Amino acid sequence: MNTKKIARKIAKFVLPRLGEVFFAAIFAAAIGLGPQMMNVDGDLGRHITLGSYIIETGEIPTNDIFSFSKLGDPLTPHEWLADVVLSLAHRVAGLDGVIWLTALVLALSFWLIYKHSLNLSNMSVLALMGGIIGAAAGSMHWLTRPHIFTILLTALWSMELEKVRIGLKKGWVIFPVMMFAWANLHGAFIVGLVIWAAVFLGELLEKQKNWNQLRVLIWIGPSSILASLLNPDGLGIWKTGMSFLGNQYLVSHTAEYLPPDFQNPAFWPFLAVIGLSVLILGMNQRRMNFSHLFLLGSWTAMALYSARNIPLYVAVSIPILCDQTAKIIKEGRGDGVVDWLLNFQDRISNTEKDIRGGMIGLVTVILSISLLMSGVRLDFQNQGNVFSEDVFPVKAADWLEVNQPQGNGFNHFSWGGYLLYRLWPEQLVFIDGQTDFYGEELTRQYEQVITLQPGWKQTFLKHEIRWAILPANSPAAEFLSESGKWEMSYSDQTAKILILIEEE
Amino acid sequence: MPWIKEEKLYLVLVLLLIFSMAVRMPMDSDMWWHLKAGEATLASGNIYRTDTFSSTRTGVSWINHSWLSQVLMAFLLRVGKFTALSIWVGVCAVVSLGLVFLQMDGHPLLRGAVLILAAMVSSVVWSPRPQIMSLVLLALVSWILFSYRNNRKRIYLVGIPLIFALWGNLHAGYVLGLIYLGAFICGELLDKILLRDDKEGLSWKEIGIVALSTLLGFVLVIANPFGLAMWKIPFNTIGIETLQNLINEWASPDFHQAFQQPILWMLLGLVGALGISGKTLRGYRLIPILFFAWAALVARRNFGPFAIVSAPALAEQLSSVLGTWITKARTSFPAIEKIFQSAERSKQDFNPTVRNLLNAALIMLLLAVGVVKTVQVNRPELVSRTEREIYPAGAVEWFKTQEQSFRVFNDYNWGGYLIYHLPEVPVFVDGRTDLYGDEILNDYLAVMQVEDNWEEVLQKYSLNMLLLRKDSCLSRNAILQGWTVVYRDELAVLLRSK
Repeated sequence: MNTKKIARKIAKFVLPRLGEVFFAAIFAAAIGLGPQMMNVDGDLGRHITLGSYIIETGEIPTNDIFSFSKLGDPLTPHEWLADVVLSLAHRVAGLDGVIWLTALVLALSFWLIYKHSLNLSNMSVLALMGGIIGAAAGSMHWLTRPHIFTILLTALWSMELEKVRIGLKKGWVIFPVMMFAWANLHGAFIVGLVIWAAVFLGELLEKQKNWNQLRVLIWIGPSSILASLLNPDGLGIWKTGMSFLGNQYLVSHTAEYLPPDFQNPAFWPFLAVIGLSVLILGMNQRRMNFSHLFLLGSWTAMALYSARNIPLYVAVSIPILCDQTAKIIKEGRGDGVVDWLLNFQDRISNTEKDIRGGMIGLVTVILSISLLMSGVRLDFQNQGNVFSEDVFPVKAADWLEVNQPQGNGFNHFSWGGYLLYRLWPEQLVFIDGQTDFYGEELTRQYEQVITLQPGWKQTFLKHEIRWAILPANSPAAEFLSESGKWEMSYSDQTAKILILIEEE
Repeated sequence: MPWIKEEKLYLVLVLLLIFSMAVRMPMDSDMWWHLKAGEATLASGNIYRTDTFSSTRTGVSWINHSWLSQVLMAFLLRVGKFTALSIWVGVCAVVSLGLVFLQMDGHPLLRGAVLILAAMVSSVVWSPRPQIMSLVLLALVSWILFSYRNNRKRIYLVGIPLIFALWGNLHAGYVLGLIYLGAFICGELLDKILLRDDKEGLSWKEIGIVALSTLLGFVLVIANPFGLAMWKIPFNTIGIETLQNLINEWASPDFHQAFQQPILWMLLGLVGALGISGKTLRGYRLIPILFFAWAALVARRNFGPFAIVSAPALAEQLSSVLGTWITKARTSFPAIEKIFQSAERSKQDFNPTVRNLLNAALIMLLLAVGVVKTVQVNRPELVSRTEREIYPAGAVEWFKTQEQSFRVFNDYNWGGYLIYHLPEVPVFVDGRTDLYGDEILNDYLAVMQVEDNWEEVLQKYSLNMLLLRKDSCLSRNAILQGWTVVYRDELAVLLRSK
């Protein structure tokens, strides 16, 4: 009897709940996609380097220290805390640590989406399906960059705000605290305020108002706005964000801000979620509440406008769609298939009541970092968490480290972060991925050179460029190497390094 | 008595507005080769089906799926110059959206507003090309099904096979019609399964009759000079992998560009209206919307079909929402009720003669706008100037002064123009992607993107002249490689091999 009791108690902790299985699956998937997550985006190197600088000096730079083109210019360090966190992970376990951290943040984010969906729909099977399709849709932007903290905070913020909306939560203090962290982790903290505005406006329009909830909602907005000012640049963080978003040229020239390209199969799950939204709303016989409607509408628009918003769209819309679907299913009670589905859900809910869980998730997280630190490769392609030589100028950077060419070097935009990671402070860059700092003028100058538009020579003269590191198959590299005024000093399949031998 | 009823007045006004929107200067890059092929068919009396326009595919037989539209276009150009082509586009836009209006529910003002939105969405694909006939025929098919569903008169369905017999000769877009029919049937089946005791939907027998007419339509697509090959052509075109790299209209929408945003508004309007109305959308409307929304988000050339399919659903849902809101507002707020009553009274008290005169004046005004725009956009000097801004008219003149023959590599978007204006110099490539296929289009991209083997590709086709945009990367690289500039203007540069 005692043995049975002990076994039952152990099982209570060891057996996983659906949400925990989902957490572990997302975590494992993100670990498996590690090299892909760090090689699609060029900014990781910059984040790690800046984080290291802050840790070592104890100072958050508010002037540029990385480029020769804008050295010393005022800079808004809107991601400084995320950079520190990424850099700490890097210090502990190198790039494996960065991947582990990213996987953990993503798994937590999608677990929160699952949890929120479950809270709204009261159907764990539905929440799991929503979570899976949401993860598939959002995975196209699983990248090792501060944006992951925005995904996490969007999921958490939406869930907590919904609790306030339906009266489950009475306090508002947690929101400015979250906003304080958010504003120091990532520039997209405005997302939280957009979500708040949609919920607040929606509740104002509802005929039956709960004034107590509205009072809490009113406090959340202004207090969070004030909390967002508690950062190294104060109001400057708002100015930087707004001026970047208001600059059509920069937004259109930043890859992650481009709209989703539905010819690419990676975006098809997102397309499926949009289709499901129309289908679910079309089949629903009840009016949605205005808050949900505003959230769904505004985030559909934002995700279609910029692909980087897709994971945020997922965090906001999947719980709403699960809620609507649950309503449709429950209205179909009496139908054979629907009844079977509801019975199945009841059985799962009853089983989950007796499970505490937590063990599988914990073991997965601890075991993975132990394995990674002991040199085991856990990625799907078994290539290890390293910067790919096909994407980044790995060997060219080796050459630069040894040969250290004199003067300023022009670099390919998406390699800026990697070059900082490898060569800073010995070498500064012309440009890197922080377009909100470099601005339209310098980005245009970069574009002028890379596409050989008239005026590129003046750009080289203005910035006293003595060497250039360019993609091997770029027309600009071909042009310079054929011009007779530049000497090809290094060349491989990824990059070419050209050094000026005769003034342009 | 008013000489025109309120509903008809709104319809006429909106359609006149749409006509003014759709009448444009015919400058589409594909229009030119369609015109040339149409002229060749008219001149010889035989359908143009063997390529003589290009150096890369000359002598190759080609499924000219738009031959009848091309003949119509060539005929219009012959009788009415560019003006006739402009009017043709305007009329097609009006007919297609007029048919959509007939399928809408709600107050005419609301229907008019939704139709204007649909027009803004569709306007991306309004150009003098056979594609516009597909827009008209899709609207016609949807109207026939709508009418059949409402009246249950089988006579409507007789039109379906006949439409497809014509469509198979006008444009390969007939596949959109078949997909619409398939989605309509799926939608009715969905309702049959989900909505128990449903009286509004089609019966099993009626669904069977629609399926039969669809099958007949599918079979009759082969009633064209190319027979069974017409079934293959949509798949051949979609199967070309380089399509989206080369042609903007095959690419996914870019919502950073304002002119592509109306479809986003329409989609959001639909989501919003569905969410608020709480009224179930019938399957025959829901399923086609899902498919055409997918198609429009994958390739922007499907904006028009999406608008045609979605507008009636949007009007239905908005009408339900606004109806509820207005009723609530009138019962809850006496002041609003008073406003409505006073508006109703003043409408009745309004002098009928004055009203008739005002209505007629309004119609005449919009008609005049349409006429003036048609004349303005087709002024010869404006057409000529625009042509020179978009197409290499100067380079064409240079070629005409030369006696020797050239093998030219040309910019894709200029191929059609060269075919029309410089038939003596065969092109490397033009808008007939189904003729060129991946092999030639990939070679084209290799050269344009200055890949390592770009000069080898040119040698492979024995090309000795490049006709390019003067600021292209390729032109700068070619000059560096020793190609000689023989002609240059504000737009184009001609380079001869070393």
